[in-house]
Amino acid sequence: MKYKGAYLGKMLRVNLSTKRTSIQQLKENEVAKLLGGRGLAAKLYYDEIGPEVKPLDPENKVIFVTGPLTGVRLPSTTKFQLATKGAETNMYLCSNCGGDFGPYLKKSGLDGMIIEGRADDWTYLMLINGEVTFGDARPMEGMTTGQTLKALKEAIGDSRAAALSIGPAAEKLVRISCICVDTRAFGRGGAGAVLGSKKLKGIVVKGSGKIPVANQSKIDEFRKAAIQNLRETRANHTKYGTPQYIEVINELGCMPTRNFQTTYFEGVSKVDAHVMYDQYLDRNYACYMCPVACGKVCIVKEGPYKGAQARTEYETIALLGPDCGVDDFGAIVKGNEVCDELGIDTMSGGNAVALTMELYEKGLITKEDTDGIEARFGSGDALIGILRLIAERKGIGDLLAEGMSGVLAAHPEWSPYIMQVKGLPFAAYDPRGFYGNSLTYGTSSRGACHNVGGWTIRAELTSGKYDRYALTGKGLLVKTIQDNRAYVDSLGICTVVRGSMNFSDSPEGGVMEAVTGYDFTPELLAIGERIYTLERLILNREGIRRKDDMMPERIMKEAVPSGPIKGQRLTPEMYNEMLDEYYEVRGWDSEGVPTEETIEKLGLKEIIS
Amino acid sequence: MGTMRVDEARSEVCVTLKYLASIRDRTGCREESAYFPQGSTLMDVLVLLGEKYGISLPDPQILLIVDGRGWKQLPIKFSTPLQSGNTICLLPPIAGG
Repeated sequence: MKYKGAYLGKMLRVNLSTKRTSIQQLKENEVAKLLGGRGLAAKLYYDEIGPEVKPLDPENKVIFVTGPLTGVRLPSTTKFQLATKGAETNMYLCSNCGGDFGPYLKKSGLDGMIIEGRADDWTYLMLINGEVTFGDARPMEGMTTGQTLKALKEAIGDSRAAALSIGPAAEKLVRISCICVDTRAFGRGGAGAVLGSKKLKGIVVKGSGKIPVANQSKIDEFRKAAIQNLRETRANHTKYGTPQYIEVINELGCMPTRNFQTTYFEGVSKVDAHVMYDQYLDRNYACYMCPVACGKVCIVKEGPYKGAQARTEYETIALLGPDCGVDDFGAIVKGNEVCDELGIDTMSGGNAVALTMELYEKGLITKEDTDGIEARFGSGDALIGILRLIAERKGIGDLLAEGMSGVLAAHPEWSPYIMQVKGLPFAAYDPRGFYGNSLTYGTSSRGACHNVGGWTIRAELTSGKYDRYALTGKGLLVKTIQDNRAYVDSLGICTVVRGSMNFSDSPEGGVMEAVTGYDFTPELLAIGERIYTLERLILNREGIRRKDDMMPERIMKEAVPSGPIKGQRLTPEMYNEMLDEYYEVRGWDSEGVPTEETIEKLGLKEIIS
Repeated sequence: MGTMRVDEARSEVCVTLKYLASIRDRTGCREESAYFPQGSTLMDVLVLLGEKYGISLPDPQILLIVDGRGWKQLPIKFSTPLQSGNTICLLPPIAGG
């Protein structure tokens, strides 16, 4: 390849049915247009996973791709991407993960790997410097994710190797199951069940290779400057992590409370970052090369959940806590631990429990459905019990395990209580508080995701350019943030550190040239736009249109009944006005399909032909 | 909740100051009421915060929100007159995801 650094040029292909492996080269023209990570993963998906493939078919594939910066000696070069047909959403899924696995994959000599087929019985993969061994994972069947990760590292003979695993929930094809990757996860969209359907219990990797770079001394300068910048700008993140936003989002009136029935949780002072820090925090942890170390390991020291341990984040706290009416931080940690061990996405899990609680309190389901659990808002025991039902597919857990799409298909009359777009439940921000956020959920490439869809709250609150309740301008705002995020997800760095290396919506600086030998910087935002539109073309091919970009009933019909944003309501007319603007700035038609002119302008024609 | 009085003699406006997340590490309290003379502006709040807590605004590491809106959205920014019942929040920079 023409690039002097960053890329190793090799993708590993593993067929679990035939136990054959092969190496394919990265295509230079695709790297030039799509960068790596999320961009290249989307292209591989476009080429290899058609609309007729179902998530749990052996024809589905799981595509892992690192970015050009993954593993390079710069802050938080930790990320790698996954693309697959998601079991939760039954459509294209892109997912982003930190930890050590991505960098170690690169050190083993690979830019990524494609898993295809289905093994005859439970299998694991061991990668050492790019060489693959198929291992017998039958003894690991039923193991928690943590037990599996330990067993994988014992198999490779190195406790410092990197590993990913699925838990018992994915073995049972629970559609909201995740892939745990050491301290992090490919959480959303049901990638866990896809690996479960392939009978792939885990992958362990180690490598001793060097990642090539174009100019090491320049990279060293950038690293020092970035670390200094992060010490000044991210000190709060180091101390409190994302849990610091619990009381902020609550004060802004956007906290999902009791299944998004209200948006202000009266018990927030019992579950905020100070409670975490003072009473539960055991230690911080960091992803690969990250000086911020925002990860928080929390341990419950007393009470009914004593001994529970988990890595709590904002989304998990909000969706297992306030959204379930739970104001006991110990119960939240325990719920988080249950999700981690059994391998369930905490966000979809929290949404599922909150839905169950509302249905129970409204008398639409009974104790017979909940296996005897008194499924009331505020009950920590109910939170944990329902999560276990989902993992075990017992009682109503069997229905919840099908994801919100499955629940809606079985019970369309429950639509007023289901908070989802395209099958993915909401993240922990009520969009009636920041209207751009509704567009984020509606137009995200993977369903109601604030990351992929573009987190607008900071700009809507602090930039001075927008009012949070204005409609005009939100289409362009959302597009810009989405394109920025799409290229960042393709680089292989964590979004928390992107400002320290000037990877904003006006990127600048010499990091890309120092690493790859080519100055991608002026092209980065355009690359992001290209990636986002490629993802939309994939979704269109899978049948997605305007009707699928809509908000759920609760958002479109109910005004917020109380709290700081009492009375706020987003009507269909208001939402459609923003969506029309979004489609226009994207160059998509009124159904949300990119026009021929847009495809041509973005240089996508040769990529998709 | 604490209170701060600036001038008890004249007719006053009462605002609520809230200190969220890591900002509370600097103030030692979650929220307090503050009284200002009629005609006071947001700038007077800033002066008080500087005197009492050593907080100097504007500061890129501190966001100031008035009744749910960022100060940059206010038409006349720090010259905005205070009104009784205003809730003014100080919070750290926010990021999602």
